[in-house]
Amino acid sequence: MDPVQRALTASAVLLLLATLAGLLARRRARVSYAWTAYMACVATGELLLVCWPRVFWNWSFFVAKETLYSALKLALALEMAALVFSRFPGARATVRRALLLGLAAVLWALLEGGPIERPGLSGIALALQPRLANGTAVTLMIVWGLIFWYHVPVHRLHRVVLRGLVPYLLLFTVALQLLARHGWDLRRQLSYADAAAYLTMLLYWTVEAWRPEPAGGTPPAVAPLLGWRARL
Amino acid sequence: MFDWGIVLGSLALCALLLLLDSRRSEQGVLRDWDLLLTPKGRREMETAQRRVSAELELVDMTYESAHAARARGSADEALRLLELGCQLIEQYCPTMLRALAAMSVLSRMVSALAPPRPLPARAFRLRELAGWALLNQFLQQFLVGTAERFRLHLIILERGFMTVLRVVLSSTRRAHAGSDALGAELQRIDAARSDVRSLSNESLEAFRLLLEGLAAERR
Repeated sequence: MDPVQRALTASAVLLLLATLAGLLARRRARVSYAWTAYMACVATGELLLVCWPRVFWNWSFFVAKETLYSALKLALALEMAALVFSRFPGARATVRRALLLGLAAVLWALLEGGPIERPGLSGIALALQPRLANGTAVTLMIVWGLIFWYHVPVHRLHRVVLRGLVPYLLLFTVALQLLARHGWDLRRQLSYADAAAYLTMLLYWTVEAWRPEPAGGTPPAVAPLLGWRARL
Repeated sequence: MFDWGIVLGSLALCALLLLLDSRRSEQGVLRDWDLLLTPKGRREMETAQRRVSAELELVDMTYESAHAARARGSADEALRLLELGCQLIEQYCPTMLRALAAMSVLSRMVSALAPPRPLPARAFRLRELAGWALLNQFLQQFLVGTAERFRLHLIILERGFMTVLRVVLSSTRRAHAGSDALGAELQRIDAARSDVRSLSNESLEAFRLLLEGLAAERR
């Protein structure tokens, strides 16, 4: 792990902690349990990398942590769908079917997406991680699209998560694809580009986590439709 | 190797969602729901009915004055009033199109809608609109859910307004060709005027169905 990568990883840890602190300070940590858990896990994983790179800077740790992060991101999509559509019984059946389709597509991509071309854990990582990241992005986009289609109200922070995470996951997929295609020649540049994209997303989340709630409130007649209100 | 096409497609979809997100106002969404869930919706409907009635009265007065001017032999005056009537309809139709688009969005949230009665073809004097109404009746047979039927109903109404606008613009342009052309185009515009009224009534009826459907959903 070179000094630049270490510095970028340490910056990510600081921003993650700042975002979590902002959510706690604004009492918004319960807006999405999966999101909070995801940030806490990533902060822990990256902190291990920064503090003990000799122990954790390897493919097996990369595969393990990225798999855990992907699982938490999928849980985030499912939790968001459940919260947003909990009070819309007419939409729930469509949402359920669409998400099943999305998850089935992720599974299909993992199993049938083509052969693993490189041997070892690096080959597994470069073959499966892009599929998992892209599939997770598609699942999140399904939830996002259904929010627009049904014109349902969502919490500001749910949109913040979607606006940040979906573009980042797709850029991550592109970076891994380029790495698999061009080999280790571009590893450093792609690593920096990925880190820069991730830091941009985290900075956006940090700003939004600390932002006070906008004035305006919720009309009393609409309040019962907001499934997440009980968590605030 | 993972398909680049899938990645590029996902990126395009992401760009579209970001664009839609940038245009969405959460306060606007809350206001829309408040409109539907409270008596404000009923008041909005009554206000819309009054506004539609007043605008259509103005259109009618303008074209009746155009008829009177032509009867007096004042073709220039008739053409001037024709242009004025065309401008009124040009302003009116986009407003109705925006209202129909908003209804289409809101209808997706209403799962239990009373099925709209099909647009009666005989209610329309323009051949094109009667054709749209017949198409609507035909397509309704293939749709299962009331929500889908309702959205088709709104699409046909939108097409109807766009057709009326096109007919009025083209007829007003052709009316300048001479006295005989003026007479013929005035008749065509009269048919369009009558159809605007029919379309407006059907649109207000659709709004009423939307509110009633939502009230039934909430019970």
